[in-house]
Amino acid sequence: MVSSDLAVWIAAFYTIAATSYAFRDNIVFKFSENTLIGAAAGHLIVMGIKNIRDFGWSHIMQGEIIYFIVFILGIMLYFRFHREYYWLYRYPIAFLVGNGVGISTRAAIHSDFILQVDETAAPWTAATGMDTLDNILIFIGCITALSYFIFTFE
Amino acid sequence: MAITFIVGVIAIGDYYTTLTAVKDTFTVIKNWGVVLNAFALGLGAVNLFRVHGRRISERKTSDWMFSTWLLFMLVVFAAVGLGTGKFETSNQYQWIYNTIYLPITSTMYSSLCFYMSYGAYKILRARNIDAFLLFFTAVFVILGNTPIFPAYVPGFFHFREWIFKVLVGGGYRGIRIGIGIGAVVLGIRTLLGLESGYLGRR
Amino acid sequence: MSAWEKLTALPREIVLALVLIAMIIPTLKPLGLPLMIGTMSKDWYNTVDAQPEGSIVLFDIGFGGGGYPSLGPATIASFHQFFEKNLKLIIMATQVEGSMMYPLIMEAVKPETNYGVVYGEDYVFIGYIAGTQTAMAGVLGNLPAIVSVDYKGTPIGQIPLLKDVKGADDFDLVAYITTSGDVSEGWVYQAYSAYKKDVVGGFLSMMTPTMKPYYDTGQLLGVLDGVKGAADMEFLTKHPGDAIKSSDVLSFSQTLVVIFIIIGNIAYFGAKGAKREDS
Repeated sequence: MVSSDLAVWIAAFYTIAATSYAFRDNIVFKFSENTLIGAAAGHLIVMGIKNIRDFGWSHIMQGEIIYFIVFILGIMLYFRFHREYYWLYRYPIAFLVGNGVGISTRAAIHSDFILQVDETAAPWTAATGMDTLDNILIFIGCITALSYFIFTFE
Repeated sequence: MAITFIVGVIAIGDYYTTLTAVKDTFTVIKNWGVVLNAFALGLGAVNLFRVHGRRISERKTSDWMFSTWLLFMLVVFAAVGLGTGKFETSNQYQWIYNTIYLPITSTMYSSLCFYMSYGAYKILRARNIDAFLLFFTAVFVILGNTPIFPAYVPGFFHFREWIFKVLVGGGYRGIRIGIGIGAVVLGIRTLLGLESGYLGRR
Repeated sequence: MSAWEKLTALPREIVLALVLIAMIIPTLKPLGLPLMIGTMSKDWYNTVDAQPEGSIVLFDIGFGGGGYPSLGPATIASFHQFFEKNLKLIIMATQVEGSMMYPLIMEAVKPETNYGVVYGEDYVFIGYIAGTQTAMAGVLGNLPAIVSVDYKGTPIGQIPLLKDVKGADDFDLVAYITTSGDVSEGWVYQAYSAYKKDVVGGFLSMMTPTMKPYYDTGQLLGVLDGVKGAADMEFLTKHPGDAIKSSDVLSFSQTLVVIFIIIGNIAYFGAKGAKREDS
């Protein structure tokens, strides 16, 4: 009946330790919390290095020498922690931000603005009276929520 | 900021144009972006070493023992993952992940239900008209979401669907439009160099 | 402190202990309470059901250990439907823990045993790709340019399923299940807006209101929301699992929460009335 598998006991201990915070903060919960943070950071290192190997180093092995620039940029990221050469990390950050902003902004206009406005501006009348009332209420809800974003100046 | 502008414009150009040169350049930029993001994953670990290393060396509070354990777990996971050469696919790494990491993280997420239950009991009181609307909507959404009530009184389910379709749908559509406009404006300002907060200050 | 005031301020330990008991009872003795299927889950099921045999689905495991209890069952039920329909699956992960969820899901689905499918021919896992929307745009834009090996390090040239897959034009459906708002919005932006693909999405129940506008405008053709959506999916695919078992837990615990809310309100107005009488 009682498991002899060590993994089950360790998992059970950590499950109870993590739940114990619901009642009050305690040393066992702090232990599990620090385990989680350390393990998460370790996992990030493992996955980061794997991605660098699969998506960066593999290209260099195929003869694309230009990928050395990416490796240099990646190392420059860690100058964030250097007292004197802190400014070096701005170059890779600028690349990442430009990439992220460009990729997300290009589609946000269509998804978050055009399609939403198109749906809201559609005629209210529908097949049934209830659906017509629903469309009116959705329109009112949309306009009143949008009014939150109007900043007034006094 | 010139780098931000050039990279951002190429990304946007890939969407709005069909020029092969732009698309090929953007493919390279995407690949570089993936590798750079992978490098960025290690930043958290480096910061943890700095912060907790300082705590261990100074030993001002009793928390230094927890800091030691934290760094030890970090090293264990990294060593097991990298040591076998198979990264996360190795049996040893999957064992420590499923035994140590998975129970803690799934329990911590799941414990939210306890805090929400107590929060709902304390906050959902019809003190005024706004609180009453909050109370009314929350209770009927819970009743509609709980499998047992709609099974015997289907009206709860249909009312919950109506709340989601009309009230939530309408309100969140307005919020979504506002977020969309804000994100696009902020994006354009960032690309034009009018927002430089991401470059940090010193 | 009057009785009413005591009821408005019940100790946290008592409330949480009762909620815990309400969760333990149906876990030990499932009651098999009935279930009502939601429209959004039905739409997900019907969208996948309408895909012709052999269609290629790009699936993103966008959650980690924290989301596994609620989204794991939804993913397992979805995979059962994909394999039953003989759809080809290209699986990726945009969350760093997603690649750790893959073996857990495959252990539950057992595709080789249950459906006779072959890894590399019928499904493939290309692993975690960093960068969220960058990864999505990369895979949809030019998959061979960004991915050179699969999860285990096998070159994609040796994987039959990936030989002819170049990008978005080769995918018939994009599906994702995630705990992250960035991933959730990202797939709508990249797969729907940028590449005009059909998209179905699964996420936590608390994310449903923010994602509802995408469902209303047809950008998401189906939605699995949290444990409820997972239970619906298990029922529709006739593969009962943890989500249907959790439905009893949901029923008990949420009923108790509603009772506490009502007690709190009755006690609040009772205390208010008593104060008015005293003054």
